[in-house]
Amino acid sequence: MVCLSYQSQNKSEEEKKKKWYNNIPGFKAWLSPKYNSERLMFTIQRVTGFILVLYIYVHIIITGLTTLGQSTWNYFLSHYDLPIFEVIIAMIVGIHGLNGIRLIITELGYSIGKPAVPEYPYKPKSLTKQKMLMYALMIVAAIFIIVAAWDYIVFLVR
Amino acid sequence: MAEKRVIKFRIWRYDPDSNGKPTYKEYDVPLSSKVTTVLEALDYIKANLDHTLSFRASCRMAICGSDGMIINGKPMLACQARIDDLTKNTNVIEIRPMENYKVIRDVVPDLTPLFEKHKKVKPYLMYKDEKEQFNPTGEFIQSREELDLFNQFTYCIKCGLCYSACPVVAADEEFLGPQALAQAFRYCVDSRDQGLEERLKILDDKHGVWGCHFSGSCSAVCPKGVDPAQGIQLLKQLIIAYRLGVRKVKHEPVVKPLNTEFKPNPKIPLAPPFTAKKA
Repeated sequence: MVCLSYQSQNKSEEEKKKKWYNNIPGFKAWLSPKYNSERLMFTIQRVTGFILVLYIYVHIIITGLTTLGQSTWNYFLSHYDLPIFEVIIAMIVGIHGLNGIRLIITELGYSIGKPAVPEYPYKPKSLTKQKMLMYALMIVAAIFIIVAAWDYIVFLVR
Repeated sequence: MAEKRVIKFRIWRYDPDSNGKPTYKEYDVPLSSKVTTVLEALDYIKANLDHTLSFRASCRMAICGSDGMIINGKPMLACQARIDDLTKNTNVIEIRPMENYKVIRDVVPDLTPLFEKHKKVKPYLMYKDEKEQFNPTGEFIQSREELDLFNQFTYCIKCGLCYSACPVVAADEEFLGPQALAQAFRYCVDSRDQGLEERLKILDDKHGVWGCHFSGSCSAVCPKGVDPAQGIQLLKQLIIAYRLGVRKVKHEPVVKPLNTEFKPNPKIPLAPPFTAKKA
């Protein structure tokens, strides 16, 4: 095989002294939705996923209160059980789960089109072909959230 | 005659020798027939306003891929960014160096990691019979459909804009990046290539294809219509199919002997004799 000679393997001390500005944003880039709507969904997926991981621990601790006896559990329910938290968790689960389905479909290589020589004015196929899937699943997520929060909405209207 | 329109350029300046923090400097550039793109404006600033400004550029027609920078918040090639398009609602153009790289000076990034990762994926055709590959006895036959599978990805000019837009690269420096992965797909899917197995060591990894979470920013900023996001997802499909043992290879690379014999077609008449005398 033809091997490509590579210079940077032996970094000289001069190179280490170079004061180059580190322009790498790190995890900040996850929280900056820009350029396209898939990037916004990427940010939402990160944030909701992080909240869900935290929620699992909170959920285990709270349901663990039942081991302390019936009176503690009833006291907790009467004082701290707010339906708004459940509605928020339902929203997060709906969006994260249904966007996850879109990601599974696209990452398996479906609904992103076939490679072809670009014709101008050009729009990337991977971003146009699965747009409808994205919108459809987000409508399903909205329906899911409304159904999940129906009791709360009725409660608010009254 | 109408007054010349003057555009304000806010340019990110960084001097490694001064130990200072990067700052923005402003320059007023009058538009003319010679200043229509951002690159021409940068040339104007360098020639007339501030000769200490550094930027990298070469062909000024989106072929060399050296003048990638963030213009008004979006990674673009400066030679492709028309000032008229950018200043429809505003009179200011802000220029920053590409993100996800170290900055050498002003808007000149160090593209070493991009090329390093590009080399890692072995971006060349690998044929198991090396003797045949380097001293061919015939030609590799490829159909139009087989060419179409990877033709789009050969337009890559290694400008590094996709690498700059990728949010995964920002958080994970070891991630190969959209450019290298799209090129890996270009070679893996080539009907003349047999190197998928060898490339899997680096591709089938959390810093390889599985690092990609399909945010699609690479395809949104690509100036040459390469669509790296699509290439990476198709590469995932290819690797899954290979691991499950269901990858369909139409045929092994076919080597057809060179046809050196020349037979004139009897239906086509021969060229007429020369009318001018030979010197």
